[in-house]
Amino acid sequence: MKNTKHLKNCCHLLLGVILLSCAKENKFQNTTWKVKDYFHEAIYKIEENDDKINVRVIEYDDGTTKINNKNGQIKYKFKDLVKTKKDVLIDGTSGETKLTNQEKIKISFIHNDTLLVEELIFNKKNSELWVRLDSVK
Amino acid sequence: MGETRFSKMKKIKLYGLMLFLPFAISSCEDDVRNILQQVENPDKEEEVVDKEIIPVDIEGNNIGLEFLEQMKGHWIGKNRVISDDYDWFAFDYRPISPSHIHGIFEGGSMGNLFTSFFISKYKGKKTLMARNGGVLSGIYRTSYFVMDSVNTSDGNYYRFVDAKGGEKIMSIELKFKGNDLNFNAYTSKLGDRMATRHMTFVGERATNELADYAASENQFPQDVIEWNYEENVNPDWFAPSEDGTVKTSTFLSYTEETNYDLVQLAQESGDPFIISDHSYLSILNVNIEREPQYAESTVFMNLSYAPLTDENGYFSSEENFNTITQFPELSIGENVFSFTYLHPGTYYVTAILDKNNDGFISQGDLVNPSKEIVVAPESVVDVTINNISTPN
Repeated sequence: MKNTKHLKNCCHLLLGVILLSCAKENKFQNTTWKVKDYFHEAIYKIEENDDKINVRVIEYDDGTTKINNKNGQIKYKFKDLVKTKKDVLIDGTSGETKLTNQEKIKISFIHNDTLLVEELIFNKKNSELWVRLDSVK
Repeated sequence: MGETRFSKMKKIKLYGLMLFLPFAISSCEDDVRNILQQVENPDKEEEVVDKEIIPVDIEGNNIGLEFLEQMKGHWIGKNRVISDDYDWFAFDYRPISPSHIHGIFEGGSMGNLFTSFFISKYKGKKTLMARNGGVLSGIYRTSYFVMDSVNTSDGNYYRFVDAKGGEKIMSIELKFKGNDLNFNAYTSKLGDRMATRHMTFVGERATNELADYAASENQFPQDVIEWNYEENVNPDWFAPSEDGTVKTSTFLSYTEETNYDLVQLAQESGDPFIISDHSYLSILNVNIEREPQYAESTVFMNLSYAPLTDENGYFSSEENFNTITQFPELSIGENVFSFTYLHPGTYYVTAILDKNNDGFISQGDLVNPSKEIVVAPESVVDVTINNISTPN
């Protein structure tokens, strides 16, 4: 009887381990990123709420517009992104309704510490490289 | 800035198209409609569009005059338009009346883009406004902006927002610090989403000399209303979006004619403050005569206040390239080009023919001896360049 119970516990433990290892890791959740070029610099945090992923502005400075969290102001670079099976974030609108053949927003890993962020602005693609600020998980 | 247009020319292509395009599209293309339809809560759209715009009152203070004074100058720097970086760019801002300062970028074949700033009246207040627009591919567009924010805590910052839809539709921001200028333009998607940056110009004032002369000629600056927006604008002419709502103080018209009448196009748009209402500015028509084998070659046209080439047509000084004020690119075989809204003054006209068709100035391209011309205020000047023959 004791052995049966022990076996049962082991099975539960094994099942838990298997489930955990099979669970899809969200590589984007609560990650912080920095972008800097001649014209601007910014820090963004990727957050997930109710299956929607937002990119919050932590700091932003393009020479005229400056944003930080010091005054409690919350601004988003992108809102309502969805994650594809390929660990890519796209904007929810085009991803769900197929308004366009090309995603308006696309965020993908090119390295654990580097994101390629592509945004379609008036049919022209703007690309940025974001470098991870927090430690690699 | 150290580097000149000449040394940066290889990187400069199609500046105007992308500079102009965001504004044009923001007013008349599908993307605007789609953007606004992405609002999570449909009720929010009205809130976004009709959020009250509170103009900065410049009555009884120096805010307006200080801005106009600071805007003067030949600004040279770098520009990013959406994702394209241009390592040499210039804006030439000079007064054209006691309370109006004007600058235009002539892109050449694709069109032009101007932004002028003037004292006006909006919602009963004396304030500064901006007029931004131009003609691109037959689309005439003019948009009006009103100053709604000033901050002098770190440099002098000014914001102008769409006079109908406010910051959520379009805005222009400028920041002066010493001789440095940041000049940015944005369009925004959602109320709580960051505005999208379309143009980021970072530059410094190369000289005030030309602007100071124009200031003297126009008794600039004075605290007087240049043009009264609230008395003259007719919202019935605001260009609607495709959903039928009006979100922006923008006027549009269209022509398929390449040799269009600018005044007629302006009148058709309902624009209440058109080129013929602007004092002091002139028009320069440049006629190009070239060998038949180069009929389709691109011509890089330059207006500068120092000659780019000597009497034999050879580049004389790389430094003189930093005296260029207008630099249109004629890429569809035009033999006539009109500089509209041109500041009067003395110019040197230098045409560089892209002999090897590589898209930029390079060895062997043909150049004329820089031709000096004088453009009087409110005049129309014709000049012919018929000696683009010196290989450099």
